[in-house]
Amino acid sequence: MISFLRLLSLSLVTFFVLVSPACGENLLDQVPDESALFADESSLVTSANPGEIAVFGDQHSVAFSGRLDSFSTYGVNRQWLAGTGSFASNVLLTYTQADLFLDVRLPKGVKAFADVSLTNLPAAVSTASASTVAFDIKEMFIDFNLDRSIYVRTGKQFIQWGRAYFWNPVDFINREQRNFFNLNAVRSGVYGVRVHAPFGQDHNAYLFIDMTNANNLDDFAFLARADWLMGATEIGSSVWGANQKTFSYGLDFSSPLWGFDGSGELVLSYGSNQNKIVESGSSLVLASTQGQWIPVAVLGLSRQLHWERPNRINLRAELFYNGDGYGDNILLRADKKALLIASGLYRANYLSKLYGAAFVSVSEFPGRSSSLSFNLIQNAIDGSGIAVLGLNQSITDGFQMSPSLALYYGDASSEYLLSGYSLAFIVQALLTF
Amino acid sequence: MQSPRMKLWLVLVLILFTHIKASATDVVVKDVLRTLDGLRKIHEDVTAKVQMAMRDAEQGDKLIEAVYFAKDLDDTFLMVMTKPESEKGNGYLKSGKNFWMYRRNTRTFQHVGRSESISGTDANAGDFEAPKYELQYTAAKEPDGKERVSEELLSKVPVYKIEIVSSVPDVDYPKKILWVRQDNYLPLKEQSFSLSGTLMNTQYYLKYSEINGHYIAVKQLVVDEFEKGNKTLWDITDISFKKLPDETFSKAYLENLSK
Repeated sequence: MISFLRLLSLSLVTFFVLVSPACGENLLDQVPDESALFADESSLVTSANPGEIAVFGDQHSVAFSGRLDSFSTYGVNRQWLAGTGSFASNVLLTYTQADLFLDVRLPKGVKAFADVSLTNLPAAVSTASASTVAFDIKEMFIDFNLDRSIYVRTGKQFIQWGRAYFWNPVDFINREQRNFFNLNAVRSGVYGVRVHAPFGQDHNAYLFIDMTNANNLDDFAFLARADWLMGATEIGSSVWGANQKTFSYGLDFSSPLWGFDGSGELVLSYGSNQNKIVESGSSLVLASTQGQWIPVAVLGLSRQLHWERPNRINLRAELFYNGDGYGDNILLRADKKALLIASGLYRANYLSKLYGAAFVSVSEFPGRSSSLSFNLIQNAIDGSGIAVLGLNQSITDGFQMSPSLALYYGDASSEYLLSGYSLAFIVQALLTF
Repeated sequence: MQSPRMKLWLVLVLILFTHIKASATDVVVKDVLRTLDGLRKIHEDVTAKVQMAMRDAEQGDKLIEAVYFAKDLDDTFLMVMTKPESEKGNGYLKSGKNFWMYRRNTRTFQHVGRSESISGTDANAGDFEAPKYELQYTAAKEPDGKERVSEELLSKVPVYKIEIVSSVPDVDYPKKILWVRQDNYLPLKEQSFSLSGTLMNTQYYLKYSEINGHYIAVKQLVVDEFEKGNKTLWDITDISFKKLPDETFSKAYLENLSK
């Protein structure tokens, strides 16, 4: 009899254990019935049964994951649109990029991470001699720490220091700039060693040794940085230096400002490490500015607004002053334009002295699983700009489509008309796994 | 025909009933809010797994999981997302008035205001802190100045129904109605309204865990009243009250836990 009761009890316990995961499902499936939800008053409060949580960072584990980006752009040429150019001047660019992540964890916070990137171009885009597959290791590093007091990351790694959203003058390290059309793209890192010493939440000190172009010890570039809190304001200061290069000094902050989240960065260097086109008599030469302080600064404001729901509208604006940029529109002169392109000195969004950008997004609009965005960037010197209206539609968890329409405006000889486009249709599909 | 004695009895009973009724609803909203804030402030370090099972009428189901570390005494927490894959590695660090979001794609720490949403959900940093009803809300009043409080039964549980309105601008919803237990003031149900008075969501506190006289809401159901069919079921499991070293709450540790 006792055995039967035990068996019955065990069966009941097993039954309830088996069905208990489904209880959560039921709560989501049904219209909530308050009588049922609170029927058993005794179950509303239970004693806490503390357990030891196994944090995934403290266990042996190997995980593979990744993302697949399919990117298609159709650029409509300005002249074709005006009826003076040929259809062949329009350009279709399409590619697929896979980022495959390997994440290895060992106890005590030791980990290894690799991002192997494969880009597949259609045969029509790649040259006859080149492969249609481009291979890149965006990141490959090992992390370890000394008793959670000093954290070391060694290998190829992506680091972004700076607080502004689009322009980051204090980001002295990265070669790859943020892409205006794909703001959350995974970027390629640089090879080096980073040491991070946190002092609570309030203070952090960093040192990065950049070994990207190093064959010997004197080829290193280094960056030292500290950030600290003063009330609700976080301030950072940094210095970058390398052998036979002009040092750069940075200061940045983030703070509540007039009801907004404010951020700013300022970099000063006595001279520049970048060449510019300068006129020497009747000829054009490449030379860097020397013998004067050059400021580069960005100021940004952002705010989230309620629209029926909290944080539904996201507003962000940035103003960028580039002291090393051109104060006039050099693209008006064909010889300067040709030299700029041929010398590889053109960096998008860094050509002129003054820029502005705005980023607006409305989540859960027009549908619950979509968001609408409007991004604008403008070169304030030549008056050109790009306005992008985009829709992000989440089809299911882990897959989203983002069609967008870009409008290029300004004078034909201006920065954002360099591509020759007036319009571009962009479709991005992103799958994460 | 009632006798004078009978009438006297009736008047006495009426007075007594009125008095009982008055004293039963004579709870002071400020005291209730202070008590429920105190009850839900855990004076321990907490480590837990947080699971949000979301049912979206358009998109289907989505499961979000995170590991959460909190130093409740000084409003500090660190949280890192572990599911889904698109969110894995994103994290949040909160210390006093300072809140950082870590985005693993861009490897950036963004220092922002406290109202930022968590992983695209309706939750924000405030949902992971000790509640601050007393600081943020005050009683809604009737035209005669009385606080809007009434007694009800929620299923079989005697509750006070309390209407509160925001007293500071930095809140998610300017008006709420709470159903709190009469015996200990723990909330069982909460409705949130937009500025226009639209009912936005109903939150059911389905289960609490008790630790040293304080309570953690370990199971909650949030019903979206604006977009019908959307619901989120919160589950907090694997709770540990083991003392956490201060080094846990640093950007470096969050970055180390992330991808």
